[in-house]
Amino acid sequence: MRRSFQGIRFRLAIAGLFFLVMFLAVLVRAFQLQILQGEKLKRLGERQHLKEWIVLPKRGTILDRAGEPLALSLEVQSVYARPRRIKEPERVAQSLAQALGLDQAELQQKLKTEKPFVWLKRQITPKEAETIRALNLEGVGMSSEPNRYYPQGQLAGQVVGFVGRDSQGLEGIELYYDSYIRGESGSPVIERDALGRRVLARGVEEIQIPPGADIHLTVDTSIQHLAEKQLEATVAKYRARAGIAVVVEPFTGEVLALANYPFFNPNNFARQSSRQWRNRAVTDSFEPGSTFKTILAAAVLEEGVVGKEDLFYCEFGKYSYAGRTIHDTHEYGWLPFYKIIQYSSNIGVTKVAEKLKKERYFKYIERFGFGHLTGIDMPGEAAGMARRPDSWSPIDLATHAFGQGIAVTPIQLVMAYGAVANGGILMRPFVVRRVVAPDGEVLVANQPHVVRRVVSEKSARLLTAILKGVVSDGGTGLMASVEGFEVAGKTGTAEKPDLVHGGYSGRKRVASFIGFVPADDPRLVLLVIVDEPEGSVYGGVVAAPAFRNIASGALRYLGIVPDKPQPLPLPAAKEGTSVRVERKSGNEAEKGDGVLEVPDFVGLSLREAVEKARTLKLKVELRGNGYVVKQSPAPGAVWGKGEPLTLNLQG
Amino acid sequence: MREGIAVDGWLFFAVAALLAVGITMVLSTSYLYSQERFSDGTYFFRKQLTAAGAGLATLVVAALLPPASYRRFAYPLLALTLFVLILVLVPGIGLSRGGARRWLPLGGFAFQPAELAKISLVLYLAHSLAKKGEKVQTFAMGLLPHLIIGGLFLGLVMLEPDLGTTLILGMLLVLMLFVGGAKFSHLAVIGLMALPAVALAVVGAEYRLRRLLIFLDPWRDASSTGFQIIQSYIAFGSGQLWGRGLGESRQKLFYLPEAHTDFIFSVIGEELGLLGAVAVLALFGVVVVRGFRLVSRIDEPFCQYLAFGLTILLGLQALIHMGVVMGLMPTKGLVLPFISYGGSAMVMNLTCAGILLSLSRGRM
Repeated sequence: MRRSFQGIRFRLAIAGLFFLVMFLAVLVRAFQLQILQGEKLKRLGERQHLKEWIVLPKRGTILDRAGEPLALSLEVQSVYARPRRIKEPERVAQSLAQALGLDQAELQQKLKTEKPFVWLKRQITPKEAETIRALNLEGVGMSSEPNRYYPQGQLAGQVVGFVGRDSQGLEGIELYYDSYIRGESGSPVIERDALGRRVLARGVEEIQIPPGADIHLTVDTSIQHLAEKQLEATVAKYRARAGIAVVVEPFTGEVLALANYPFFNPNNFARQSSRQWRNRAVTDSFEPGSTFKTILAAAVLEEGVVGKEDLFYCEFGKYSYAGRTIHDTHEYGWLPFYKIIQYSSNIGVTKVAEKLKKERYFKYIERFGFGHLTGIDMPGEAAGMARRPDSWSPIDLATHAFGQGIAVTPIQLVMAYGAVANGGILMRPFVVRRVVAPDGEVLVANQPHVVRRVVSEKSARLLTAILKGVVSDGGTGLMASVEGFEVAGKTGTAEKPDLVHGGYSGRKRVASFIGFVPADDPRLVLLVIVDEPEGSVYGGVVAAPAFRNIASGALRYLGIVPDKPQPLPLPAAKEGTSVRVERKSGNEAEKGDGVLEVPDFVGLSLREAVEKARTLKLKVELRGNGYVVKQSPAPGAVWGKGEPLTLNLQG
Repeated sequence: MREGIAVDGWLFFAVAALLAVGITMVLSTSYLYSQERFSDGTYFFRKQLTAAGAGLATLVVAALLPPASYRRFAYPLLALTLFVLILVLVPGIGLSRGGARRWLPLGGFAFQPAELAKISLVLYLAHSLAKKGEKVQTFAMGLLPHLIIGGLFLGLVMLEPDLGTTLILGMLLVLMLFVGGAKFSHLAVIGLMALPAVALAVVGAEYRLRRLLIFLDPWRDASSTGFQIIQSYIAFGSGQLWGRGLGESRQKLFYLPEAHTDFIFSVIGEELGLLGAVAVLALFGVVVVRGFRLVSRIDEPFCQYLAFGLTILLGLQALIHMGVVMGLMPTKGLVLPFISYGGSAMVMNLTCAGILLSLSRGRM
C-alpha cells in the first residue's frame, strides 16, 4: 500500500497550478471590468437607472392673459409589471387583459421577459386603476405620473402645443418653453425602486422636487374663441380647405389670438395628423397676393417717388410688360395712386414699381421683415422666401408688386401691417408675457421689442389714409368695415401656385384680408386667410366679413369706444357693435335731482370698467387688478352722483 | 496536550472573515427585496444568521472529532445521499422552484441534497482512493467504481436540474482521481467519453444552448437573455476601485436576479469596489493555500485525500461563482461559500471547514 510520494507531490503541484491560474484569471478579470472598463460600464448603468426611475416633476401651468388655464398637469396612474416576480404569467395576463382592455398574447409576452420592469399601460382611467387595485396581483403595480390636460380642448391648440408620454414638450409653447415648464433644471434627480419608493439617497423623503414654472400668455381666450368661431364659420360657408386668423396688438407686438383651422385638440394629439399640429401662421409661408401691395406703397411714399394723387394710366385692364400680359379684374383708365391701392389694380402697381426700381423696392421688403424670422417665441418659425433683386427677371418687379413670386408667413405680414399701424415701427411678436417660477420669481418677462423703424410716421399716416379708402365705398374691402370705427386694410386674392405643373393653378385661390382698427389709434392688427374657398374667391367677399366680425367683437370685449359718430346701422350689420354700449349708458337713467341708480360693474375687466366709468362720467375708486368682483354701493341702489363708487378687482 | 488542540489559525481566521463579510452582504443585498416580498427587510438576514449559527455548531463538532473517525461515515453517508438525491426528484416530495426540483422539506427548512452530495462525494472518494492505493491505476478495479458512483451523483443532480453543482461535482471527481493516482491515459479517455455527453446536455436543452451562446457574446441580446450577465458587468464596473459604499448598490435593485445568492459577488464588486472584491478573493486564497499546505503535511492517505477534496471543494465553488458572475464561464446558479444566502450550503461549507480544522489539529 505504499504510495509513490514523488507522484502525489507532482500531481498536487499540477492541481495547485490549476488553482493559481483560476485565481489569476478572476483577478485580471476584476481589474479589467472594474478599472479598465469601469467608467464605460458605470455610464451604461446610470443611463439605465435614469431611464426607468426618473422622477418627473409636476409641469407648470399655461395660462392666458386673464389667468384662464390652457394646460394643466394632473396625476394619473400607470400600470407596470415586474416580470420576474410573476409566477403564473398566463393567468395574470388574462385578468390584466380583461381589466385594461389589452391583447392577452401581447401582455403574456411582456410578462415573460427577463427585464426587471415593464410598463403595461400608461395613464389609465381611475376606473381601471380601481380594478387593478382590487385584483392585487403579485408583481403588478401602479405608479402615479403627471399627465397633461388641456381644459379648453382645441382652443388655441396649435399655440399651446402638446407633450409626449414622458411629459416632454413636443409642439407649441409646450416645446418652446419646455425647459421652464418642465421644472427639472436645478432639481435633484432622485432614484426610486420600481415601486416608486425613493430608496437610495438618504433622507430623500424631505426633498421636494419643485414643479415647473407657469407660463402667462399674451393670448386672450375670449378673443381667441371669437376668432376661432368666425374662422370656422367662414371656412364652412365657403367649403374652404383651411383658414388662419391672427390678432396682434400693433404697439407692443403681443399676440392676442392665433387660430389655425382645422383646429387641433392637444388632449389627443396622437389621433390627429401632424398637419393639424402645425401652427401654420408661423411655420408655413404663402404667396400674399394683393395684400403685399401695401409694402410697395409704403416704399414709394417713404422714398417720395410717388405722391398720393399722382396719376397712372391703367391700360383698361390689359398691359404687356416684360413679355407677359398683366390683367386687372376691372378696366381702369387714369387712376390716382391712392385709388390704385383702393381698387387693387395690378397694372397700376406695376407702373408704380417701375418708378421705384427693384433695388430700392427690395430694401423695403427686407426692412418690413420679409425673408427673415420675426423672432416670435414659438417653435418651427419659417423665414418665408424673398429673393434678392439681382436674381429677379424683369417680370419679377411686377409680380412682387402684386404679391407673387414671394413667400411670406402670416405672422410676418401681420407685423408688417403692424408697422404701418403704429407709425412706422416693426415690432417683434410674442405670445408669452411672463414665466413665473413656483416661488413667484419672474424668470422671463417679455417686453415689447422694437426691431427697427421701417418708414417715417408721416409716410405711415399717409398710407393709413390710403388703406382707409380700401374699406370705404368703392374700395375692395368695404365688407370689412366695423360699425363705429374706421378700418384701414387691404384685400388679397392670391392665385395658388400649382406645385405639380408649375405656374399657377387655374381656379384655386387664397382669399385674405388684413387691416387694423381703429385706423388712427390702432388697437388691433388682424389677418384672416381662407385657403381655397369655393363659391366666391375674393378676399373682399370671403375674408373681409370674418375680419369685421372678429374685429367688432374684440373691440367691444376690450371696451374700446367708437371713434366716429354713430352712423345709421349699415344694411350688412348683424349685431351692432355699439348696441351694448348704448344700452349700458341708457340703462343708468338719471332719476332727477342728480340721483342715479348705481350702474353694474361686476364682471368687467379693469379696462372695461375704466371705459364705462369714463362714458358715464363717474368717478370710481379701483382696488386690485383683473376683474370686478365686488362693488359698493351695490348695483341698482339709489345713489347720489357725487358719492364715491368703489370697485374691488381680482384676477 | 496543547499541541493536540491547536488548529490552523489562518484557516479559521479566513473562514470567520468570509462569514462576517457574507452576513453583512446578505443584509445589504436582500433588505429591499425581502422588505418588499415579506414586508420584513431582515427576513433573509435572520434566516442566514440562524444558518450560520447552526453551521458554526457543526464546525465546532466537526473540528473536535478525530480525523480518522470520518472514515466510518463514508459509506452510510453515501447511501443517505443517494437516497435523498432520488427522493428530491419525486414529485410531491421534492419542492420545485423556478422549474427546478432541488429542495426537500425538512422540519420547516428547505434542505438541498445537492449540498450534501458535495461533502459526501469527497468523503467517499477519500476513503475509496485510500483503500485502493496503487490499484487506482487499473481501470476496471481502480477507476470504474469511482466513475460509477461519481456518475450516479452527477446524473441525479443534473436531473434536478442543477448544472452548477453538476459541474462542481464533475471537477471534484476528476481532480481527486488525478491526485489519487489515476493514469493520465485513463483520465484522457474519460474526458473524451464525457465530451459527447456534455455536448448532448448542452444542445439537448434549448435554454442551455442559448445560455452558452450568450456567454460567448452577451451584448448581442442585451435586452433580454444576455441581460443578467450585462447587469453583473455593470455592477462590477460601477464599483471601480473603491466601490459605491456598503449598501449603495443600484444593481441589486431588481436589475440583478438573486442578488443575495447567485450574484452576491457582483454586489460586493459594486459596493466595495475592486479592493473589496480582491480582499474576498484573497481570503479564499488563504483557505486554498492553507488547505494545500495541510495536504502536503499529511502522510496518511485518507486524511490527505480528504483534506485535498475539501480544500478544492471550497476553492472550486468560490472560483466558479466568481468566474460565472464575471462572464468567464457559462452556467449560473452557484452560491459563494460562506457568503451567499442559503442554509444548506452554509451548514455544509462550515462543516467542511470544521473537518479541515480537525485535520489540521497537531499538524501546524
